[in-house]
Amino acid sequence: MKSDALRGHLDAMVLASLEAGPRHGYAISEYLSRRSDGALTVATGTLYPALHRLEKAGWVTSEWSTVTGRRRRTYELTASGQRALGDRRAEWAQTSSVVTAVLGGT
Amino acid sequence: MDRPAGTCQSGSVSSTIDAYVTSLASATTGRPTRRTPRLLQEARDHLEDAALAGQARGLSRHQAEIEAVSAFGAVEQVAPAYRAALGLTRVRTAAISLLFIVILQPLVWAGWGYAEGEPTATGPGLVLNDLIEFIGIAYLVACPITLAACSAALRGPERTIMVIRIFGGLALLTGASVMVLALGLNALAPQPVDLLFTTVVTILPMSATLTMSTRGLRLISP
Repeated sequence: MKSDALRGHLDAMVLASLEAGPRHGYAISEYLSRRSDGALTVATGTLYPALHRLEKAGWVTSEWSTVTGRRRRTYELTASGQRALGDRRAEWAQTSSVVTAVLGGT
Repeated sequence: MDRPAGTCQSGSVSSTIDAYVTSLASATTGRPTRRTPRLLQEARDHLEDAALAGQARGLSRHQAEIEAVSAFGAVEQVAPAYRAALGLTRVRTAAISLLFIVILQPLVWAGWGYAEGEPTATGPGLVLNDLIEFIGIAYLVACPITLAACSAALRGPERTIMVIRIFGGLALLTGASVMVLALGLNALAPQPVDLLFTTVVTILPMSATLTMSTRGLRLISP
């Protein structure tokens, strides 16, 4: 999938990846890859600046933790981030239903 | 501490990852830093994880590193986002530090005046004093509002550069104004305040915030 098509949706997908619980960056990228069956081709390097921005926006928090013997930065969804995810889901449902209706061709 | 070429922090051979992170650091900060920014440490950790996963799938260490670096994205592709993230951290820290400095300044100067029995400023000195107070009060009001507004603005990825310019500009303008006015006030005072005291209390803290905000703004300059 072209990365241009994903622009604007990466934040929502990152927030969704944290809904089940805290994850470190690599686990988030693995989640995105697995859930999309490898269709997401966004450069994983752009994930970390996005996480930092979401942290400063108050939607995620982070802390160093030790995972399988290695020190990693782990991210967690905040209550505000949970609400934002709900809003993004509603927006996406509306957008996709409109686009599907128009592109459906019948 | 310098590590032998071709080895990573864990001691394994990691020339591709090392070269990539060094290149990303150079493209991001443009110069060596005393400590590795958190973003770059996370990038290295990610590449190490990806390389280990590649090895678990049967790739050689070298092939696994090349695959990990390739998936991470070309340095030219990811560096602008890293520069913006680091720039944001710097100008935000500068703006918040300046807020505390502005809050503490009147208390420290009042304490100094009380201890030294300083005469009240008159004439041009009084004008400068009022100007400093006005700038300080304006910043006390503007900074928290800007912080809240910028946190909201950061919820859209395209607004990061705008937020950096607002934070950096606010801190730069306030810090430079107060520094210049404080020096002028010191020179015009009937009994000039000890220059060392002015330097320690006002000039140095303001210089530190100016340097931090300038570095943050420089990271997003073309």
